[in-house]
This record gives sequence, C-alpha cells and structure tokens, in this order.
Amino acid sequence: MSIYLAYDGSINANWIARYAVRIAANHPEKQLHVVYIEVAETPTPELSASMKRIEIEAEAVGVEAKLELRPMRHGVFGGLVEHIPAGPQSIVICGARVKKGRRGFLTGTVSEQLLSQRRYNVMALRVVQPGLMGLPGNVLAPVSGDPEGFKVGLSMLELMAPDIQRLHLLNIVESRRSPFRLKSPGHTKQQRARAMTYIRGIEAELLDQLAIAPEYVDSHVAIADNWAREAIIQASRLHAGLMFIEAPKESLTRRFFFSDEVERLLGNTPCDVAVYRGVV
Amino acid sequence: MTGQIQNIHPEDVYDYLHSSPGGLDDREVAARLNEVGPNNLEAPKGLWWLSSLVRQLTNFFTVLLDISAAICFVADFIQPGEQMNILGWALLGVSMLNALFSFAQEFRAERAMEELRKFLPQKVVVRRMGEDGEVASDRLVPGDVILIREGDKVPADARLVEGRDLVVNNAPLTGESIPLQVDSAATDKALMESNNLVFAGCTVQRGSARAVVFATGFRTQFGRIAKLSHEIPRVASPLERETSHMVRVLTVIAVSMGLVFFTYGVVTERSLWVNLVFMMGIIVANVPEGLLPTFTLSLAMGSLRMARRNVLVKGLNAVEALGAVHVICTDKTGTLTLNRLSVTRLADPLSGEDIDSRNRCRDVFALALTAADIGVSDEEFTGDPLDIAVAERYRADGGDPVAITSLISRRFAFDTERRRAGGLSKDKAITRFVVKGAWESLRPLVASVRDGDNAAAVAVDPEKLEAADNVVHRMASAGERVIALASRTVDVAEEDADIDDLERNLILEGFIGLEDPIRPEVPDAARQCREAGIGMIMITGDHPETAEAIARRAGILTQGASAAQATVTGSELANMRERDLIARLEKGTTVFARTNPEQKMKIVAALHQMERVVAVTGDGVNDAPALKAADVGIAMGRGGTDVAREAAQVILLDDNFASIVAGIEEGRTIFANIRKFTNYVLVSNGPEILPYLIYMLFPVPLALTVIQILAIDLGTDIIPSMALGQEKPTPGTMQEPPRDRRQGLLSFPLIAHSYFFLGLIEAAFSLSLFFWVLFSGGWEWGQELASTDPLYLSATGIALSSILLMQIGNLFGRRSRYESGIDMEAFRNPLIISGIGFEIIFSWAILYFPPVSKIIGGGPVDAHVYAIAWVGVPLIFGLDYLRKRIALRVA
Repeated sequence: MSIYLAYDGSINANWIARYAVRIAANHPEKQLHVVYIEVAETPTPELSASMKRIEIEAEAVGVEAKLELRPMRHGVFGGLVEHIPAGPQSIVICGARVKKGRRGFLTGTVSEQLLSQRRYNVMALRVVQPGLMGLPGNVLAPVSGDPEGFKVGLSMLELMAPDIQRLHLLNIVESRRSPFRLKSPGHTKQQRARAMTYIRGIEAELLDQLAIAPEYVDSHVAIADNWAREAIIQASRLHAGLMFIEAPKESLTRRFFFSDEVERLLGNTPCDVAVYRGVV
Repeated sequence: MTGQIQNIHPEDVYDYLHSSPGGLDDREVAARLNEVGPNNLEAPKGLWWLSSLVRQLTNFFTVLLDISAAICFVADFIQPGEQMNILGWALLGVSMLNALFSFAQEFRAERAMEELRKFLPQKVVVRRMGEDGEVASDRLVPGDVILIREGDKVPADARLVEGRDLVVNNAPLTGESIPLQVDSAATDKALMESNNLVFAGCTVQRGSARAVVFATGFRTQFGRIAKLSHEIPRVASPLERETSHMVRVLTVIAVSMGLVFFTYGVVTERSLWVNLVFMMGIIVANVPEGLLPTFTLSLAMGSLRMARRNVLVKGLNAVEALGAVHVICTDKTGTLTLNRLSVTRLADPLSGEDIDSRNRCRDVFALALTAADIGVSDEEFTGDPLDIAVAERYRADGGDPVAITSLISRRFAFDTERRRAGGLSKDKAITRFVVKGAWESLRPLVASVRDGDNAAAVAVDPEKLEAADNVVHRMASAGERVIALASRTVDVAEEDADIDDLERNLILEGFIGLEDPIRPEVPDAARQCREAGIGMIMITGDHPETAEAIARRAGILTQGASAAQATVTGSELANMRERDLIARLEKGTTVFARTNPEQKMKIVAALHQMERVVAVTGDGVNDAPALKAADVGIAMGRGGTDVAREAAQVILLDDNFASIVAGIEEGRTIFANIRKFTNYVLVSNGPEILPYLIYMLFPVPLALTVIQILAIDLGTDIIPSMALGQEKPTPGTMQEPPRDRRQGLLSFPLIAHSYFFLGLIEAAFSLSLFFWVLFSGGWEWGQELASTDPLYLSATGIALSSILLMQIGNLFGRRSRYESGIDMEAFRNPLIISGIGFEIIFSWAILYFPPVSKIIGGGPVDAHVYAIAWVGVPLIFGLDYLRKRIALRVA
C-alpha cells in the first residue's frame, strides 16, 4: 500500500501534510509520496521551503517523504491520475478548501473529483485545528446506514488507530421535525434501542479489525431532526479532534435539492473533518 | 515532530506554524486571511431570520389556528351577520402572537452569541515584518506573532514563545476564576491542560509574553463553545410534545367526524352548502379553540408566581418543564452553599487539634497572606475567595492584612499543575518564603514540621507524615477545604532563585480549614426532592472527600450510601465511555468531584440516554452548552455570567437550590392544573357535538349553532379555565414521583370522563330542555323551523344557557380528583368567582338581554324553565361526586 499526499503548497496543505505524515508513520513501509502538480513552470522558494519542511517533519517520525513534482495533464486532476496508480493499494490524502468558496468547501475541488472517481482510497481533509498537528486524539465517526461504506473506511482508520485516544461511533437517527415532536417517549426509546443495537454491531466488527482496545471505543445514538447539525453538536460535546465521514453517494441533482450535508459539516464543524471514500 | 502544538519546544514553534520571530509579511497575512477567514465569531449571515419566521408561521399550532380562522370567515360568508368574521380575526391574532413568540425565542440564541463576542478584544499588538503594531483582532491569522500584556483579552489561541511571570485567567473556558501561571516551556500535557498556551476569550492578569497564533475564529477553543452554544437546538419541553400530540389527536377526530358528516349529507342528498356548514360546525365543536390561548395564559401566570419564588422563567414552556424534571444536576458553590468561604480552624499539623495560641494563629495567618494575592477596594478585600477568607480572619484577630501583603517582594501565582501558590516576603533582615496549597502537592517538599506544643520545627519522618495525612483526611471528611501551609527563611543570595530552588527544606506550619456553609434551606429542599422522586447530582471541582461530606450534609448523599459508589472524579469521568457512565448513574452515583464545567455535557447526555428530564445549573461561559442541552437550563442570577443567563431558560434570582425545588413544585402544580382545565374544557365538547349528530340523523332543528359553540369555547370557558390554572399546590404535589413521560396530557381515561360521562350528562340535560321548550311551544316532530323563529331562538337559547350553568358544577368538580372541590380555597380564588359570575350572567343574558341574545342567537323562556336549567348544576356535580367516591374506593 502506498500513501500519497496531493500537495498544493498552501498553508492548508501544510496542515494536511501533518495528517499524511502521521498516517505514513503508522504504515509498515513508512513512506509518503508528496505529489505536487506543477501549475507554474518554476516552483517558488516558498514551495521549496514548505516541501523541505514536510521532509524534515516526516524524518522526525521515521518516515521517508518522497517529493514528486509532476506536470499537469488537462489540469491538476489529470496530472494526479496519470501519476498515482489506481486501485485499493493507493491511499490519496488531499484537502478541502479551508475557507468556503463560491461552491462550498469540497464541491468543484480536485479532492471532490478524486472522491467521486473511485480510483483510489481517498481521504479529503479540512483542518480547522492546526494546533493538533495531525494528532486529533478523539475521533468521531458518524456511521450512515451503509455499513459497507464504513468497512472500506476502516482501512484508512486503521492507519490512524495508534494515534486515536478514543473513537466515538455515532448513529444519528434522523427524524423529520414535525413528526419528531409528535413521537411519544416510548417510541423514541424503541428507536434509540434499535439504533444502539446497530451501532454496537459495527463496534464489534471494528474491534475485530482494528488494533484498538474496547475501552477506547464508545458508541452513541442520537435522535435528531437535522443530521448535520446533530453531528456538529456531538463533535463538540465529545471534544472530537477529527470527524471521519464517508463521502455522500447521492447524485448532483439530489444534492442540489436536498442540500449537501457534507458541505454543511465541513463548514460548521469546529474540528478537523476527513471525508473518505474507498475502493474495494 | 513530537506531537501537538504544546508538546514542541518554543524555538521550533515558528517553524511548525510557518512563521518567524519577525512575524509574517503582509503578502503572507493576506494569503492566510484569504485562506482561513477572519478571526471572529460571526453569526450566520443572510436571511436566516426569514426562514425562522416562515418555520414559526407554518408550525402545526399556527396552521391549526389559521384554519379555524378560515372556517370562521367562510361561515361569515355563508351566514352573514353572525359576527363570525370577528372571531376569525381574533383567531388570526392568537396565531400571529404564538408564531412571533416562538420567533423571539430563536432570536435569543443570537443574543447569547453577541455576549460571547464581547470576550474578544477589538485590537491586538502583532509583530509583522519585524515591527510591532496594533491591528484589528479579526485580521489575525495562524502564524501571527502577538504580544499580550496585563489587562489584555487574548484574541486567539496561541502558543507562548517568550515571556516570564505571565498570569492568565481562563475562567471563560474552565469556569474557575483562578490565576494561572503560564510560560513558554514545552509540556507533555493535553492541549487544554497545558500551561504554555493562551486561549481566545481569556484575560491576562499579570506579566507580558509573546505568542504565535495557531487557531483563529471558530477554530479556537472559545469558538468551539460559541459554536456549540449557537448550534444546540432548544429541547422541546414535555408540555410542548404533549400539547402537540393532544392537538393532533383532537384534530384528527374533528376532521374525521366532519368528513363523515359531509359524506353522509351528500349521500342523503342535502345541499352542498348545508353540508359544508355542518362539516365546519362539527370541526368547530370538536376543536377546543380556547385551549391553546388558555395554556399560554396559564403558563404566563405560572411564570409570575415562580418569579415571586425567585425563579425567573424566560420561556413559558420551561414553567411546566421544571415540574417534569427527574434529575437536578447542581453546582455546589453558591447554589448548595452560601458562597461565603470562611476559616473555620487552624489545625496543628500532627495532632490535628485547633491551635489555641493567639500569637501563633496570627503568625500562621500572616504566613498564609504572604502567599496570597489580594487587593482592597472600599474596605473590601478583592481576589481569590480563599485569600479573602484568610485576610478577613487575620483582620478579625486584630491584624492588618495590607501591612503583611505590602512586604511581599515576589509572588508565585497558583499553578494548576503544581496545585500551590507562593510568595516571598522581606521584613527588615528576614526574608521568608511561603507556599500554600493542596497537601498532596506540599508533602514531598516538607523537611520538618512545626510541633504543636513548643512551636519548634522537628524533622519529618514517615510516622509524622502519616499523622499529617490523617489530619488532612479527617478535615476533608468533615467537609472542610484544607490548605496546607509551609515556609522557610531565605538567604539574601536566594532571593532571586527559581521557584524549584525555593521550594526546598520547607517547614510544615499547619493546616487551614475553610468552609463554605450549606444554605440552611438546602437539607429540607433535598428531602422534598427525595420524597418527590427527583434525583440530585452534585457537580463540583472540590476534592472528593470534601464533596462527599458536603453532599451528605446537604442531603444529596444519604447517610447509609457508599461514598465509593456515589462519587466519580473528573479524571474517572474523562476516561469513561457513555455506557460506563450510564451504569454508574444507574447504580446511584450522585457526586461528581474534581470535575470541570465542560464535563456537565457528558453527564447530561448520559441522563438523556436514560430518558430522564434533566435540569442543570450553571453560571460560567463554558456552562452555556450544557444549559442549552438540558431540558431545563438554570442560570444563576447573582453570580452568573450574561452568557449563561442568555443560554438558560430559567434564572435563579437568589442562586438558591431551594428555589429550584420551589420552582419544581410550581411546575408540577401547573401541569396538574393544565390537566384540570383540559378536562373541564373537553366536557363541553359533548353537548356541542351531540346536537349535530342528532340533526344529521333525525328531522329535528339544530340545538346549538357554530357561533354558540364558539361563545362557549372562546368565551365563557376561558375564565373558569384560567381559574383552574391558578389553583394552589396540593399537599401531595411533592410526594408523588415525577409523572411518567409515556402518560400524556390527553389520556384515554380523561377522554372517556370528559366526553362519555360528563359530556353526555351535559348533552342529555341541555337537549332535554331544548326539546321541552320546542314541544311546549307547539313544535311537531319533523317540522322545520327558521333560524329566526322565536320558538327556535328560545329553545337553542335554553340549551346554551343550561350548558353554561352546568359548567359551574363541572368547574367545582375539576378542582379535586377525589374530593368534592367545594372548600374555602375555592372562594379565595378570584377567578373562580369571576368565572362563575360570568357563566351566570351570560346564561341569563342570552335569554333575556336583547343585545347579547341577538348576537348569540337566543330568546326568552319562561322563568320556571330557566329555573329548571339551574338543576343542571347540582346534577352534574352530584353525579360526578358519586363517581369520585366509587373511584376512590376502587383505588
């Protein structure tokens, strides 16, 4: 398995690089490919200094950072596709916008293309707590209704496991506003119990797969009328350093009409967010 | 790369944050600002308020009221002249008021954010391109090198790189207003526990330092609190959920019956207009239009009563929510205690006995003042409450604290890591170093101990240390806060030495016991809570033994309860998973010691998972998320911050736990009263519905018109309902467990009693009078009568009149579950008297007073007929009382 960092020289990319270095440090090969697609003919001195800095930080944790400057091929995405071998053996770490653009944090970025093309295991990060320096401590993983998607994400979570102090699994049962207010406490209790059984099942599977002790994993259930808002609240409540969520599968039309919850999370979560999508 | 920002050496900080000692250049600042955005807590922009308003205007209650108004307008169109349009406008007004009230609640969240913004400074000194200059703090970016000085508010989260003797107050984040010494050295502690970081929103008390910004805006720890306080939605109160459920059930019944009638009318070939009018009539008869406004009025009056008991309620639903509380999570200081820390004793370090010698007492307190940091303002001491307590004691003993503190040459502020503070005092030729703090932290530093008998210092040995341990244990177990005090004389050469060098060969001088007395009302309030089945949880930063002792004295921890089982410390809590915490709470944990306010959220979330209705008290900025997440957030009116007050639904004007219990009693009474008047109002639905059923099935005139139904629902029933809403607590109110959340406001027994017992009695009696008047006037079965026919007006008038009179009997009956309801208290409630008076006058006016009878549609009857209508009062009351006696025997 090879780990690639899609690097663009920005301050945000430097923060993301710290996650990439940590992930590479937890991999047996201890190698990180830092890929920069040359948007300008000559790299600026700042870029060279930043890349050098990554090399030094990687070396400090025993990781060999390979700095790879590659030409564009019909844009940055094309350059990355040409350079990074497709398949589950490649993990690509990239970044969402740190500040909301006209189309959001992820929409329209190279990272979105990487996630949607399903060529690699991709993790797009938005770093809002640079002080954590890639060591989030508490990780919150909201689990959607698709256990398969989460299983694919496990391969990436596995590489972060040694740095995780506590992994919080969260199952949010979404309830539309008006009916929610109508539901009796008894009904809510049943719903909560079902959701807890489901999340405990995932927890058991996760403990089988990850090198993480049971006392470091906690499962939570929340019943809410707004999935994204509840995830944000839980992230704050649990002092999560990182939220680990699967990229949505909905088509663009659905996202247009029903709003993009991932964008809302990226915009409002007061912790780092990793949006992942894997290939089997 | 060694870890997080606090773990790296100060000289590496610039590199890791891509900065330099000379700061960033303008181009880099602009790029970073563009990339990460400004350093502020901007609320969402745009038309968020519009969507909030639309949401409130389209909620179920509002829509229901709007539909009722539409029905009135249609009725007015079909039958002009019956003033239905006025009722329509009235309903629209109530609907708008309801919507605007809820909208105003949402605006409060924005006000809380405004209070939070005040914690951030406007300007900050930044070093950029090698020069220091003042810039707007929202222009700060990660990597900026800032200079912070005494009195400054910290603008962003930053890592110290230079500075000495910097003392900060992290109260907005930690809730504890104690000075904290910070420096630039690397630490292996967690981010929030490290003492080389400064956090946005906190203040610098002393010293100056240079720091590099690593997080700005909502990315700061303070920003996280702000975000959470803003995002957490208000929890729907139990009453909101139950009224919502009730209104839906009643609406479904009303609309279903209306449609059945409409279909029946179509099948029996009645005209479309007639069918429409009767469909609307049946809907109007079924929906208790006056109930929702009465709810609001009852809650508003309840909130006034609560205010008289020092409980100020900001949202009306919190009035009743307090009554539904299962668990109160309370702070200790100021809520259970008087927040008046005072020195109770000075104990000998070995024997634990009180030091009697007046001179030695003064000497020891003078030493304690050397390690204190107090000021004087208007003859009052200012500073840490503990230091103030010592200063007051010293003054009471005849000393002058200012004379002692003026001799202090160096101060060592309280260090949370070391858990002690120190000071150096120079008096003539003698320089003395004093350190005071937790015994655990001083124990390793002590070389000798002052012997109680001769006040001479003797070398410590394991036995002496054990004796001192026992003294501390005994004092803490008695609920005292214990401060150890040690000192030594210092050579001139040592006066500038580091704290580590000074803290050697110390002599243990004694232990100061301090106490914050329990409020006298608290044990009784705790007993009431226990009797009422309400759980109490104390959350405090105190030592576990002190916390347990106070919990026992307050009555939160019963005498037989195991302390080990009942107490969880903050560090244990931090490592607990939610399920572990739930298990501990289920086993009876009631004391959380050595906790920080942020951990309240974890406790609230676990209690919510246990399906408990939770009330939480709080006063600090960092209490705001827990206050909002709780079912009832209670802020302290005297000692609380504006942020906590904005986030809470209830403000405790006297900060007293006993007032919470008083509020709960009031809340429970309000729910019981709401149930009483719901029962009362639904009874009149029976005689309102039955005439329509009879009219559709048999060739008879309609006994009650739509306007007459609305006259009951929105007219005569309102004052008696409000009277029931004003009933005082019954003796058993606080002796019953909290009501079962599964048991809603609208239960089957309540419906059966309202519709099928009392409703049928009222319907049968009023219809009997209606037909009696008709037959007496010459009406024959099947004969149609015009709506203006005097005979019809008299008949329908007496039907309405008898319903109004019977509601008097119903009103008394509703006052008590098993008792008659007629007692002296009934006549002390002015609204009952007014309600009865109104029913009587109106029952007469619709028959005999033309201005009223013309509008409502009534006409005169013989006096003896009206007299017989009065029989309905004892009839309904007597039959209901009989039912109560039977029910009591069965119960």
